[in-house]
Amino acid sequence: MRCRICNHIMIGEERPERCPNCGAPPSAFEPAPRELLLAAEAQPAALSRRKFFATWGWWGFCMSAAMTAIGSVRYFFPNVLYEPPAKYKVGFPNDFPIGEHVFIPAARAYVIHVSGGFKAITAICTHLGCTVKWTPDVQEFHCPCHGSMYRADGTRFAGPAPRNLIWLAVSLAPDGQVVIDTKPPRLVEPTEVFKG
Amino acid sequence: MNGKMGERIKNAIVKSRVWRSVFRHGAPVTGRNRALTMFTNFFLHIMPTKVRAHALRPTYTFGLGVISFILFIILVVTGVFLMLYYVPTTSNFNGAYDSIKDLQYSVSYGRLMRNVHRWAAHFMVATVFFHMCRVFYTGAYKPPREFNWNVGVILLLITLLLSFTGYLLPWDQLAFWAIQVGTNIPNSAPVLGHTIRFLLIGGNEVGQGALTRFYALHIFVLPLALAVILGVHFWRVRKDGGLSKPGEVWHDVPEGYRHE
Repeated sequence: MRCRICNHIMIGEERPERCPNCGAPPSAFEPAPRELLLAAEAQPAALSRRKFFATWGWWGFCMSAAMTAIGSVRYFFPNVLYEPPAKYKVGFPNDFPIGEHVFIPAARAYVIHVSGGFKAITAICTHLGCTVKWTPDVQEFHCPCHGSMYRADGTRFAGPAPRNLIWLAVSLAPDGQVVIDTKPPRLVEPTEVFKG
Repeated sequence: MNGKMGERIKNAIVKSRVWRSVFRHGAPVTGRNRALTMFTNFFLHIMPTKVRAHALRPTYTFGLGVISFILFIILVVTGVFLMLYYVPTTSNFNGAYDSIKDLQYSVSYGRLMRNVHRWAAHFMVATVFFHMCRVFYTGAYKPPREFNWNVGVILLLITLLLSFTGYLLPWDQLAFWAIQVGTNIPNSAPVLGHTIRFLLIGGNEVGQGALTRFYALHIFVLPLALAVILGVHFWRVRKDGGLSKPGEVWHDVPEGYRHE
């Protein structure tokens, strides 16, 4: 049989339910000339040109659309950032009197020179990010915004703050200056600093 | 059971008010539904429900108007992408020039995005020009389409202005001197020349003022103007009876579509 719509050739006397090529109804089929049938039999599973272009056309379209989508999403993530550095050189060890809390405004952190070493603690309140103030007479950090209070070791004990203050990693630069890292690879808990 | 379930879910979706509010008529298999498809859809209603046979011949228009429109869409999309990284300042550090360098060398697909924007812009100037040529050679500027020719001239001017304002944005030597020269052209106009240049570049020298103004024109004022006037342009094509046809005369235009 031959489809009158798309010239699709089918072997057999039965009219198919739909033309497998163009979806035409059974009424579109008519007996095919003998030579066309013989040609179709010689090449039974030949891929029609329409089918070939439809398949690869859709593949090409979908793949390029997918690549465009992936590339577009990737584009939104910048590879180079112009943010302030996470590490701050805060000065030479002798600049810090022992036992005092020295505030570093750029890093929003306190550096404390204790006997035998340095500690650094962030001054960013864990509630909504205000800068907490060291109050030496009671030995506590007080937040001016909503009244959160932290002990000297950074543990919160009053106000709405949900978490303790974070201790920062301290190191020594090759030029001898103290370096504090405001974005430590892991959070240093107060208990770790003050244990023993 | 499974089939029944599927049927019920399908019915629940297809017969819901939300679904029917979106799909407001049946599949376009009948003449009526085909027409409804065209004129109930915002994006398709710009197309006529019926076209004349000669208008289907690709070589009659070469699709130049549509190509220009698609290039404009590409330019808007890639332009928004570029805006995510572009900084319109003359600063020597992280200013316009550095942000273009970033796009070229560090942003993933940034160079591709910039080049697509650049080439689409070049092609759009060309296709708009060729579109004008086609309209001329097919006599489509004649009545009743005279008004739309004027609208088209404005669109051509806006296209050129978009090209010109975009040229300054990389803030390199090429951009700087091109705008130096370009803004000296109105400077030589009588009476108002100096004022026009002063307003255009926001000062006497091409500097931050010029970059800010060109940026505002390039990303907001001109594209918005183009989009609005493009709407008028498309609407007029419909109102003037679709594409022109060979040998068309005034009384071929349907009653009510003529503007005297």
